[in-house]
Amino acid sequence: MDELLHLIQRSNFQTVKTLAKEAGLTEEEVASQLKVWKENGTILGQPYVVNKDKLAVKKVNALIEVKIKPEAGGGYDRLANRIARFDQVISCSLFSGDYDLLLEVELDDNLGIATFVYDTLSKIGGVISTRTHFPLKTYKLNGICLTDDEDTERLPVTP
Amino acid sequence: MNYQEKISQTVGSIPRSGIRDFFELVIGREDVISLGVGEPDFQTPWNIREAAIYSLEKGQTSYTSNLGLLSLRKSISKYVENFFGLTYDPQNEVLVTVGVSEAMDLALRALCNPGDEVIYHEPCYVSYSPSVVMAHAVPVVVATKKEDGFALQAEDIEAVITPRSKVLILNYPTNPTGAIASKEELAEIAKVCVKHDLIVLADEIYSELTYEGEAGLSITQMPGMRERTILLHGFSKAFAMTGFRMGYACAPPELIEAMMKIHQYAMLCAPITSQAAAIEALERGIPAVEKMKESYEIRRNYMVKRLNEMGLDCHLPGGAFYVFPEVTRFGLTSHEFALKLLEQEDVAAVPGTAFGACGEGFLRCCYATAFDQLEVALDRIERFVGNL
Repeated sequence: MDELLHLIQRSNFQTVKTLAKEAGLTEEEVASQLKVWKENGTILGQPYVVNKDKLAVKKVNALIEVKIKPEAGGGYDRLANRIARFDQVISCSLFSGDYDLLLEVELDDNLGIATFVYDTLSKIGGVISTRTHFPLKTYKLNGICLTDDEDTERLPVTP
Repeated sequence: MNYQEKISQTVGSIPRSGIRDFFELVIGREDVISLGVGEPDFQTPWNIREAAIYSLEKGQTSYTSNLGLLSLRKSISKYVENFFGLTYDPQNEVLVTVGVSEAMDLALRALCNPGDEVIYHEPCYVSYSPSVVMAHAVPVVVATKKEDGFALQAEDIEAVITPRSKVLILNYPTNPTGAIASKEELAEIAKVCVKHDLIVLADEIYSELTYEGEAGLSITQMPGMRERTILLHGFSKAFAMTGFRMGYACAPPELIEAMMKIHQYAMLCAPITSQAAAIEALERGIPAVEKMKESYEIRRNYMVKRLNEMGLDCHLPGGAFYVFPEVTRFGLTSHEFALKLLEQEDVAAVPGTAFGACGEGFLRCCYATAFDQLEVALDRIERFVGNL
């Protein structure tokens, strides 16, 4: 089952049939394991991993460090959940270290990001400060290297 | 100039490799899916490559001790103890070589006098017989059989023993059959070796890639064998490091010293960059080996199942990354079958005869190929067999 979990995380173009072959399981075993994982929330969805540099219509992504003020009783959760619910926010986690939340946001352009930061995020009560980072180039995405090993000249017949 | 006159008779007497003949048929064809390779389809794990890069960055570009870096020999000694349960002193019982091929050549040249007989089992890796000849010894072949799962039988060794018998080469798991030898079979072979005072060259290059029974089984572990065995191992297969050319020999000091004499003049030492990579492989590369092994095993099971379903009967190979199906029922020789398969379906698999005469009737199919390619190749073989 470890192999199955690895396969579904690393490769999107998988049917139950091909997963079964590659994981060395029967199709029934794969289907029932996937069902269990879906039901218990281990697997949450099956989004494709998109290399956004290849898209005709470009989107702009950014990482935003956010410092927030913990609340009595609920700590960071209420505010973090509130921020996470915005559609523009792709991921939102609480971190140890210099900031509290790290958000990944996606918008149409730089202005969209700027607007989201100063018009939406920083106006939320409890948000102390934000710091926005724009990625320049992506080298690895969801475990997939975008600059892969070159096809070495592996000889077709060797002893 | 008549070059034939100039070239040594020994070298002149060695026929061209069957692999090379077949290679030339395959090369230049488009869209061929090759099941003909003898190496992993994985690139070397990144941490190992990184260690090689770092070694260059640090300026490690010198010769090393003839035996190899002491730190590497210590790592090898520790690894061999963990994996095989055998203890070798890194100071004088370990020699780092340029692949197992060099180690094999050194061992044969260190041991053989002209006319000494070296027993080996076929089908086998292509270099054994030529290496024996180049050591001016006489290759004595013992055919292994499909009904024994291509494991060498002690009584078949007995049958070819003469007063000149000196060395036995053993390679389990085997290239090209994927065969493994059981503990019992090895114990029987060991008795013959002790009885006839043979030295054994145990080529353990595929030992990590053992899927059935016990991994890390070696004839060296049998009673009376450590003193008469040169354990040959390397990094090419398990760590996917073929291009690094890293191998080693473990044996009693006298034998290592004899091999080292040749090695120091012919090779001086193995490349230091590769030695740095090898240390990383042994210290932190084992989890990657496990992952690759899992992947091979899944592909092995798939290939064996598909081949048997389509009537290409094959035993379950217990190790390495080869399946050795039988093609005799189609009334074609191995070579004819492989050639037709290549011409009609663009799938390359090596005729069994490239690995010895008793490989006739078989084909070596390597499953160290991407799963989707493997699937297409097997579909093509199925169609080919259906049309025969």
